[in-house]
Amino acid sequence: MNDREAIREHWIAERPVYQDLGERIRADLESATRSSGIRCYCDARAKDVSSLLKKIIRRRYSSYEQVHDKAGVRVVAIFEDDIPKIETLIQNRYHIHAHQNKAESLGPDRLGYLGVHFEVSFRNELITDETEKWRGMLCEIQLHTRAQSLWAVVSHQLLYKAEQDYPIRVQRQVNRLLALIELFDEQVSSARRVIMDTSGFTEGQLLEELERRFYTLTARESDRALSLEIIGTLESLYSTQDLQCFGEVIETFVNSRREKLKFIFEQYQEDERCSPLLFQPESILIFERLEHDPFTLREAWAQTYPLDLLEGLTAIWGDPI
Amino acid sequence: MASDLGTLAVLRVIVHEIPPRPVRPQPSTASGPVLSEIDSPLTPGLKNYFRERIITTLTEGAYSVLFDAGTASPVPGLVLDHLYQQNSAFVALSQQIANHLYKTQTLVNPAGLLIVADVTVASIRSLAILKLEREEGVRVQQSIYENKPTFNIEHLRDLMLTQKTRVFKAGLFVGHAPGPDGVEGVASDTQRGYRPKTEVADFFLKKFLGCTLLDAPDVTTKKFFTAAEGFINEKVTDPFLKARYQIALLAEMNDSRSSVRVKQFAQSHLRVPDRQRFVSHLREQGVAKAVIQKDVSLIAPQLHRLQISFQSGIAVLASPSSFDAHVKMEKLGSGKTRLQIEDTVKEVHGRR
Repeated sequence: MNDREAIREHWIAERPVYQDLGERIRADLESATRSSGIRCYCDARAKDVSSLLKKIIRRRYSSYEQVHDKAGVRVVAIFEDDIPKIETLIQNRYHIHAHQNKAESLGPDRLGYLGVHFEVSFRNELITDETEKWRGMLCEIQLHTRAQSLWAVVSHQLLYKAEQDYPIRVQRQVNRLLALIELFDEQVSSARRVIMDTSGFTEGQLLEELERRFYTLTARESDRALSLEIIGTLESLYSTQDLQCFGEVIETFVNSRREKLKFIFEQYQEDERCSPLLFQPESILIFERLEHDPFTLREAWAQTYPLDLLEGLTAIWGDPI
Repeated sequence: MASDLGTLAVLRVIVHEIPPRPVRPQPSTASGPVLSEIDSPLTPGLKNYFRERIITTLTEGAYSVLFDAGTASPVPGLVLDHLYQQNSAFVALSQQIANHLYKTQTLVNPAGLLIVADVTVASIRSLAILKLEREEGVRVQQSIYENKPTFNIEHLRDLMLTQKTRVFKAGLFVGHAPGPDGVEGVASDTQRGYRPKTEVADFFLKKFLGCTLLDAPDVTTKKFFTAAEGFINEKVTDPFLKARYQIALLAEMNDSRSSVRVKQFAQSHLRVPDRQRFVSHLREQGVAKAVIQKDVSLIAPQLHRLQISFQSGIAVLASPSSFDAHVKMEKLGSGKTRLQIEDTVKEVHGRR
């Protein structure tokens, strides 16, 4: 198909299917990253008609089929360290038609747009009745950190010419910003590693482990400051040995009680008056202790917080103390 | 209860008002329950509110029950209809339960509300029956919903929150498999335990629900006592604590309360590190009930005296109160124990 008018009409007719494809992959990735305990944001879009036509004109494409990003999903990771994990997750999940890490293609001596791009389709062996309609259809996935995503948006709005067409002063300004973005992501990751490795920051490490499981059960935002305070009060309930493998302790508990946890979070999703502690990651820790040693939990809790707060949660769990 | 109450979900709730039985029924005035003709509209918050009330009431003191084959109560049949008949009429069924409750009540039963809740436990169809008793003077009024009278649950919740209306009696029936034997039942009376031959308890459990206790109280009491003594002797190494716990156990068995709440016993008498170990030990010994209906007839002779036996063959026998008053125990560094008795020697004699 190479007549632009025909392409336009064809795209108007076909666009809703691509819109659905993007939404489906977005939901799929959101659930997969959540199950892996990775925090990120995903959105999806199908190209609007004018963007598709402009791309064909600009790139001098001779056919409609040459446009591979008709459907697109953007995945924005909070930490740069999580990018390789999401990359692997995408590679394991879809048939990869193209995979480009922009940093690698820039080389060591150039600054520029960063991110990881994929062109994917559903794997034939995993096609179901529901996904049959998208067999072989391509979707572009862009994987960014927040800083990279910010630059992608700003540069798209601002820089519409080739880099060399701008005055040198502007080119230097752009390069300084690009360097800043790389530095920002690197410094955040580095600071995060140092903070998490600091011995006094056990609460932070425990919270990371809890969040990793919590977000596999619900997408509700929680209050991190409150979490750190409560975890600080309750961490003494675990032996040093248990704290060292806290992730495994929580993983084992969540796996053995996954259906019940999912049931409870769904049951209270729409309940505005439910316990303020339920949609906090540390509720998992409280439920875990409630099953293993409710008496010690009660004692530790009563030293700092009103008992009725704990009783609200224990009634929800079905085992009042 | 064997089923996990944490998996309980409330689907529908209907409320009926049960007035007190008139002392002298007037032929001119109709008397009877004030019935709702439609279930009450529920928000997710109200569903969860009832969910938590049912859980709390039943875990505070629920006994396993089974349907009494010879009962005249229509409740077992209605419960079975609800659990296993696809098209059972929930509203009509609840009205029949309310009418039966009114007829069963005597003059001593205060006014109250009957709540019948269509619930699931681990996705299994179940029925909860709650009886609320309210203070004199508290009025609840019906409202009209979809042109039918019913009770406003939001208003009811406010009353319950102020403790002017409390859940005193509850029953929950989970339909695991068709037929009466496939039903797991629990009943709770937070007002008083099911003491044998106690009229008020019999009223709710037997006359109204048409049930009997699953476990014989004398047998479960003996199992609890044996398992608790086993814990003290096998799992507690400190002789001072052994004695303290044994005295507490005897006191618990001898007091006038009609039930033993396992967690409450642990909470009140054991050191924090021993509490969960105690509950786990009881569970391992087959005492999984949260509440034991107390009947000490099978263990009565063991409750009057506390005996401490030493490796040398020396034994000290005392009532819990005189042990408390006259005996001091001290743990020595050598691993041995010093027992000090301060009393007046009354007599000395040989014994086989």
